Amino acid sequence: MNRKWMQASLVCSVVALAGVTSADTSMSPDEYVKREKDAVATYSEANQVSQRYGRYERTRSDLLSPSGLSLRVENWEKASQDWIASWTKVLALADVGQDFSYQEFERVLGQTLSELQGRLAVLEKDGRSIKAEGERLLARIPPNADTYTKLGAYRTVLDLLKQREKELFDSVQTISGIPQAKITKLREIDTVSRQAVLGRLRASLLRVAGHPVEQTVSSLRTFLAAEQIAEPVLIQVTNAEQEMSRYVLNLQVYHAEEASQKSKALCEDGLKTLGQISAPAQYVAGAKTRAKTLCAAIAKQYSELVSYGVPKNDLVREYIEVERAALPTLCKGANAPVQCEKLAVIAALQTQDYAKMNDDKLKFVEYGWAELMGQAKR
Amino acid sequence: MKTLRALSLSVGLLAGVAQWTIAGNALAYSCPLEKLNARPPIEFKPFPLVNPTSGQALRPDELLDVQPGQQMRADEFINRVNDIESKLNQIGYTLREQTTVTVAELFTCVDLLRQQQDWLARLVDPNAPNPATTAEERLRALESSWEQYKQKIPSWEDLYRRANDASVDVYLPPPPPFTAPVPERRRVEFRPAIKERIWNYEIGEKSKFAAGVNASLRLEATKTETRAHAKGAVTAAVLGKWEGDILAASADAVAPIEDKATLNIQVKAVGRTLWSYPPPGARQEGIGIKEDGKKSWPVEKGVDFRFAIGPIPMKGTVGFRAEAGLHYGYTLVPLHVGAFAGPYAAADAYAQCGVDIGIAGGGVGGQLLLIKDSLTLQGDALVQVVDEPSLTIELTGYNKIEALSGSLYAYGYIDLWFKKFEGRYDFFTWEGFSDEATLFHFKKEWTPSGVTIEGDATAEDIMEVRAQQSEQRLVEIENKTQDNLTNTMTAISAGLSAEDAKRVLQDKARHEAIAGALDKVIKTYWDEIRRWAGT
Repeated sequence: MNRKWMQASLVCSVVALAGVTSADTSMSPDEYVKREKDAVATYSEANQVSQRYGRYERTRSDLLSPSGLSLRVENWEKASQDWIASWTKVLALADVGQDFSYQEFERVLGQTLSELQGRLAVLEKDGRSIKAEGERLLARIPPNADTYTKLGAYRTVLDLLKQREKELFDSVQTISGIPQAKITKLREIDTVSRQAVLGRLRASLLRVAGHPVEQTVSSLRTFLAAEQIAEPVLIQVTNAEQEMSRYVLNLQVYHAEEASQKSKALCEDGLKTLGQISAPAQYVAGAKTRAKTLCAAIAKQYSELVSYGVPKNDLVREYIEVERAALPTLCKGANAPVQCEKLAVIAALQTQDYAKMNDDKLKFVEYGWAELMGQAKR
Repeated sequence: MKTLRALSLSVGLLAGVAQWTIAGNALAYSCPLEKLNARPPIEFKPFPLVNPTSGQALRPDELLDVQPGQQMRADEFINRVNDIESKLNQIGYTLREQTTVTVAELFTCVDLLRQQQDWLARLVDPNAPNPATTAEERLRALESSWEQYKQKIPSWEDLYRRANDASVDVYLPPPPPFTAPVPERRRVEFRPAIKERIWNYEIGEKSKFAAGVNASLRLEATKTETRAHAKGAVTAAVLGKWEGDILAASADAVAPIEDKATLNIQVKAVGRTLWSYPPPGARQEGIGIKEDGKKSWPVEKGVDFRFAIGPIPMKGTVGFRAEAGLHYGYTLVPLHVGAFAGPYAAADAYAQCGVDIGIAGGGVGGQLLLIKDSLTLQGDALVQVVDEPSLTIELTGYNKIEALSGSLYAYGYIDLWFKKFEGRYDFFTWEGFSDEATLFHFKKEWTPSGVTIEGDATAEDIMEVRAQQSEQRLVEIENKTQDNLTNTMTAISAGLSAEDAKRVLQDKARHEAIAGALDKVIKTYWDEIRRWAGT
């Protein structure tokens, strides 16, 4: 036999087989998906409740804090009581004696009534502000439909939260509505008190004798009628002048611009209203002069601001840079974290950023800063 | 002296109103100014010139004290008296009357007075406060009432103090206790693991000479036991007439958590059991087992084979002689199997042959290494709990083989006295095959925190790891969710029960009280001014 053939016929075969067995009882994909969805839904609902509680606690703080709504209403109530007490003094003023001088009486009465009108205007403004603040707080805690599906084990906490929200809602609604509920009566008191002054004066003149009662009463009636028309106009114009002063001092050019336009209309209407009254002549003349002086001051202040030649972007930048220094102290307590974050964004603007902005953007920045600072200071 | 009584007048006062101008209407009444109450005249009886006290006559020039510090002649005095008497008598009166009489009066215009009274009633309220009460007194009264109600308004501190007083009924329901269940931490479940590796190795032709190795190692681990099954065999095949195991060894080890561990080893060679452990009738004591050793045996197998070298018929025996054995070592404690099994065999092929006719002779030559193999199977299956449960499975297979190297032949010859014929029959010739390699190595470590694998992982191993990692992430999510939920609800529950929550209702009540008191002040003042305003 051919050995080589025998060798060649040999077939070397290497057969190697590898086997593997594993066994594992892992979760099914459906079970995994369900558990994952449940976990995510639970996490999400927990966050929703946390946010809801955050809104409740923030609203509660806005009600009860030292600068909160409750204390504002209490101060308003005290101010309104003081205002009523002041009217009592006005009635006392009308209880004249033998040494009665009508000119002096009208002068003092006019001053007192002007002050009372101003204080009433402040009460009305504060009352509206309190009401608006109340509505803002109420909007934060609307009645909640409880639709949580994963939080059954915490039902007691959720029920307690709902109860507390309702208590807070009722409390804010009641407290914030107190001033507005009384304003109408205060206005009536303002009107009827003037009639009472007339009656009181007449009675005291009759008692002391020696003075022309009806003539005096008639003069006073004319004066009161004129004062009731003129004083609100003077108060509005005075407030507008004070507002313009503040804007000009702060370099709030867009605020000043808007205030200037509003003041023009206010002054036109105001002078027109004053033109409808003629008696008493001296008082009316004085009121018109004062109104014209204030209106002129408003216009002058605004024109001086814009006539310096400083570009508006520089004015806005200066305004914000001055107020920016107060940010660290204001935001240290983190009482208004959202407002402080937004203020920080605006405060980070550079000179070149302002230079690139158009009028609309500059106005947005100026107004935004002012509003956020107001909210943060609350 | 009789004190003369002059005319006495009673005058009704008219209301001292100099002018009446009421809605431009003048008064319609005109009344007389005076009224004389005359009587019918009476006779004149003159008074005599006598002293009215003593009754004695008076001299005409006698001086009389008519008033303190005033004197008059008697005749002049009497004349004046009589003059008055005469005039009185004409209207029916006399100086001699003892009572006071109203001789004349200013006329009282009653109708006018009544009209004025009506007008006054319209102008002033008869119940109006006394004008003598000053405005300062009224102001003081108002301020006093304000102070009074202010004192009745509880301060926040008072309310708070009272609310804390045990004698004061709590007007807020106590918050329900926070009864949420304590969250359970989810853990990745401990799942049993089974890992097995099999290796089959064969070389040559079974119709001639073939050799091979079979190895399998299987490890199992559950919460209650670990188990190892190792099997190794060295195989051969001879001329198609025989094939089988030169040596086959198998070992089963079980280490349960509580019961006794068991170990069973069996060694067979060419179909016969050579050795087993434990020996028949032996008892294993103790929970654990630790056994190791080395055994070896001679093994032989031959098969008859007829063949021809040309015309020379041959017959012989072809087979192998081997030295085969087993290294082993086992450590078995609860839930831990550490196994080492190493069957080995070294076999040489042989042939013996002879011729069938007398004139011939024969023999064999060559040396053929059939197989020389050393197999090592090593495994660890361990379940333990230190800080957390863990499972470890490790399988290693290692083999060193040398096979089919050399040659084996038979020869036959015919010896003629003039010459010799020799022929050969080659059974097998080859340079052989040798290899030394790790057949498999795989290690898996599992803990609830994660799973790691190393070595030759298969696709199934990787899928298994990924599935476990997914479960790990899911459990982390679930635990994080539960922690977040518990912390959130705990914080919310505490916040809802805080003092400020009570203050909300307290403040509402306080403001309602203040508003009510303010309403009273307003009403008091309102009533006051309405009176003055005439509304």
